[in-house]
Amino acid sequence: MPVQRLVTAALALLAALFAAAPAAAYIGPGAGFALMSSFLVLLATVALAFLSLLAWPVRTLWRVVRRKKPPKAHVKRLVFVGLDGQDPRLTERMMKEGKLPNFQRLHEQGSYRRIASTYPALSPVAWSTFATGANPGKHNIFDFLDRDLRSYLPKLSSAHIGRVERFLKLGKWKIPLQKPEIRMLRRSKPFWTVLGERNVWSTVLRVPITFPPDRFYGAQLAAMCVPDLVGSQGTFLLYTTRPAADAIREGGLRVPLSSNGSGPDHFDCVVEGPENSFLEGDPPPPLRAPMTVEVDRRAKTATVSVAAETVELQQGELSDWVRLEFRAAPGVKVHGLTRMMLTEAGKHTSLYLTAIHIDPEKPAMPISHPPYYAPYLSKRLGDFATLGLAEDTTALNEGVTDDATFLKQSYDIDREREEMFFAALERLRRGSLTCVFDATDRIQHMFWRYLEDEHPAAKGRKTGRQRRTIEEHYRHNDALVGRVMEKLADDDLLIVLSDHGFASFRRGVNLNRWLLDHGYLALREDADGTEEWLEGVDWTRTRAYALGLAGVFLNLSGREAGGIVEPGEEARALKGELIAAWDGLRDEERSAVGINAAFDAEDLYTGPYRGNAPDLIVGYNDGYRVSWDCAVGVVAGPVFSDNTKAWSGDHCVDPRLVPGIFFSSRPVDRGDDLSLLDMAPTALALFGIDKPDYMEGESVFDPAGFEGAAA
Amino acid sequence: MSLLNAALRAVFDVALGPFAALPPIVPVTIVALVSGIFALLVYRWTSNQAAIAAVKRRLFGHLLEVRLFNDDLRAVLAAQLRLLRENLTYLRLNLVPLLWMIVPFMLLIAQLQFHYGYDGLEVGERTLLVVDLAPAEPAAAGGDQTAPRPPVELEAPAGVAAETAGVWVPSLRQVVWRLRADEPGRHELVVRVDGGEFTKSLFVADPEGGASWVRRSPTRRRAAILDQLLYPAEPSLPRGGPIERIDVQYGTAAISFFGLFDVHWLIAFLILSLAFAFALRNRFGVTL
Repeated sequence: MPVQRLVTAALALLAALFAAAPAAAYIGPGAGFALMSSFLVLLATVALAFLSLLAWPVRTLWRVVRRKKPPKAHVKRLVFVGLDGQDPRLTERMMKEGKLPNFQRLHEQGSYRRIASTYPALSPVAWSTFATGANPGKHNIFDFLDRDLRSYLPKLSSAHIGRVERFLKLGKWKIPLQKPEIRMLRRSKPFWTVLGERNVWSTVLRVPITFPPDRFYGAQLAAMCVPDLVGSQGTFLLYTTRPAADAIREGGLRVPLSSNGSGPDHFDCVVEGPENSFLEGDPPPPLRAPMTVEVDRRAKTATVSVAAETVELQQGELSDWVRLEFRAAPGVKVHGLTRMMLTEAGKHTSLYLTAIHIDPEKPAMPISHPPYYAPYLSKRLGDFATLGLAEDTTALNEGVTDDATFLKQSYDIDREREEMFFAALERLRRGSLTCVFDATDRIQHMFWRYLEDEHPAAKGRKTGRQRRTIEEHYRHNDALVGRVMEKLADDDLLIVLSDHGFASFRRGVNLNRWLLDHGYLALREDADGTEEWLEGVDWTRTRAYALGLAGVFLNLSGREAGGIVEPGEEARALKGELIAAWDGLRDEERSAVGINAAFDAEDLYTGPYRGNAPDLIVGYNDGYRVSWDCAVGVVAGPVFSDNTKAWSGDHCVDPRLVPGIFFSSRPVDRGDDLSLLDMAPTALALFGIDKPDYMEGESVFDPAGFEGAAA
Repeated sequence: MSLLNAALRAVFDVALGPFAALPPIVPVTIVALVSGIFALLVYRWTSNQAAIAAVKRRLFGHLLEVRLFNDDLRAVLAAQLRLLRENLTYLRLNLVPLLWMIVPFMLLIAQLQFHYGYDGLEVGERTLLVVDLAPAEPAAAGGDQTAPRPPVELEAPAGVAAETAGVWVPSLRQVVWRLRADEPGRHELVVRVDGGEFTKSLFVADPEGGASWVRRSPTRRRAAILDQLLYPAEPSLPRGGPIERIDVQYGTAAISFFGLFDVHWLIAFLILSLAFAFALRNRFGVTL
């Protein structure tokens, strides 16, 4: 009986502590630390136990009074495992080949269906629909990006992060008198909030568009759109002695390394953190953490010292998490995490740092609900990635890291997620648990090129081993599903699903160029179209423009600051023209269809936020996607171009081409018409709760078929 | 051990001498600072810092778990059991540095105890001098109650008066004198037994103040290892000699804790050394 032994040992220890005279027990500060700390923890534990026992009836009563009566549930635990981007075609093929035995078992035990994604088939949109059971016109998330109607500049679609406006000035310091406003822009209640109102606990791990976190009866760790410490969606750093021949275009910063006269192998530099809002300036100066790099070129190693940490790096090996500490003001520190890799230590030295993640143990922003949930996970399980898009696809895209590093990073993050998931599952006795694993999406984005011999991003590359990467990852997911199934009881229900499937991204389409060529978009006389974020566009002569990954907007009078298209008939006619023009738009260079169709948002969406949607959603054909240039608002270049970046697979195509997967441990009571809209109503129905009016889907199970499993 | 004690006495007399006229909290604070730093260094070198950091993280994790799942009584109790288990692990990890610190801190505390742990006698104050004799040879002993008084004599120095003749307590084999302190200063009492001379120090405080916080010894004992360790203020009595110990009764001293309250010096030392160590732990890169 280990518990008995434990209690006996604890009691013996307590007796020894109390029996010892203070002077005899105290034999120096070391013993003092041990005895005091341990005694305090023991005291706190006993006090907590006592208080918990005392408060439990009161809390239970309060919950009953404050919230509605718990419903009659049909399951004890509902577990959603989200495998972002797992493709049904690949899944079905591999199941047929016997490579996914656990998925197959789940299919045989319960059911498997393809599940319709959203328009567009993008994770922020799709998972928001999953959570709310509503179309984007009701939850207000249409893409990663939205545009500022006054400046046409892009902004994050899911969260508004404001600035602090009120300060108390003390000499050179300015003390913030308020917290910055961080507001979620997703609308409609997610199902976990509705469950919580009826006393059903939910744990929600890394479901996209949960920043800032929801407040509900349960715990949540935020995901997609959580910024890094500098406020971006992920900015890696490359410290290098190489001359800045090519600027990093996407998601990274090049920082020159120079030896400053202290020897060719010693470098003093700084890591820049967020703006120091305690100091004056517009913008205020950044927080800085000094860093030294000592390189051993023969051994291909480096010793990096930053803050209180010293890390030994071997060339090509990614470090564990390294803590960064930025001093903002006396007694005020901002904490971050990064991982490092020495990418070269020969004639030149280059050191790669991932984006600086918010430290979950001491988060600088709200990344969890309750706020101590992230510190709790960190203390229980160790450091973990907190950035929304944590896998560094941009560094691989830019050639700063390689396939192996990216895979290691992705699998490490996946392992962190898995630990959190199983820890949460172990603690959950009744309620729901939802966890989204992102690695499937990220790995397919970056490794799809190896599946196709003629992919422009794979030309000249060896594709033997990498060709199996996606398949190996699906097997990895299969093993995860097997482990989850082992942990479930008869009255639990498991749903494994993805938000969309995947397609190839061989050719990019620059719709802004198309709009320019066809007279819908005009450039200023001093612009040549190479300007980013549409800065060269003459808005007085532009009727439509593309922004984001799937949307095209009309330059609508009364909505956009420089709008020239009148709402109503003119707008409808313009949309009709574009829909007709893009219906089956051909890429003549490849003799293929580039765009299947364009969809009128008025036909796709209903709800109070439909007006915030792009006017048209473009449904690209398999193999095509918005081009990299178009995505950052560049008008110049060809309409169709090869995609040679590592990011070679995508799902931002005609949503009919990329449904997701749906597996459940019980047979569904529906046909093949499953949609992400159905998931929230299903969750509520399983706990005996009627869906609210705004939810559009229907439960995929008939609760009558459950025999009082979890009453 | 005798040599070590002699050396330590000399070192501490010299080191603490300059503070003898100052309030004792001053030297205690300085020694606590040095001790705190020493303890941090020992802790850093001898403990498994990574394991201590990990167990502390887990401890706080379980504390947060109690808060997180406070509606679930079973989860709360399970978290508390884990807390207890981690706490024991934390204690186990502290054992190694603790063992390294035991000896130096025992030596230190023993020395400090004889500087700050006892009040000196005041002029006019009376005390007892107790001499414990070694057990008699079996042949000579005719039973405790009838044992003859051994020939034990006391020679009191000027400034100390023996108010009574030595009283023989046969059952304890003790000879007891009542002494009166007449003059301040450090005096040497001489006890004669079987032709041998044994001294015992006696400290009488100066009513005018002055250097009053100096070493004083309430007991002088035979040269057993533990006694030498715990009572190093005077050289040990010879092993196999006729006397086991000589005691002088001093009062227990309390020192002023920065004018806030009076406290035993050891408590002040405990508080201050812990406070210094906690305050300096980050500077020394130590996880406690």
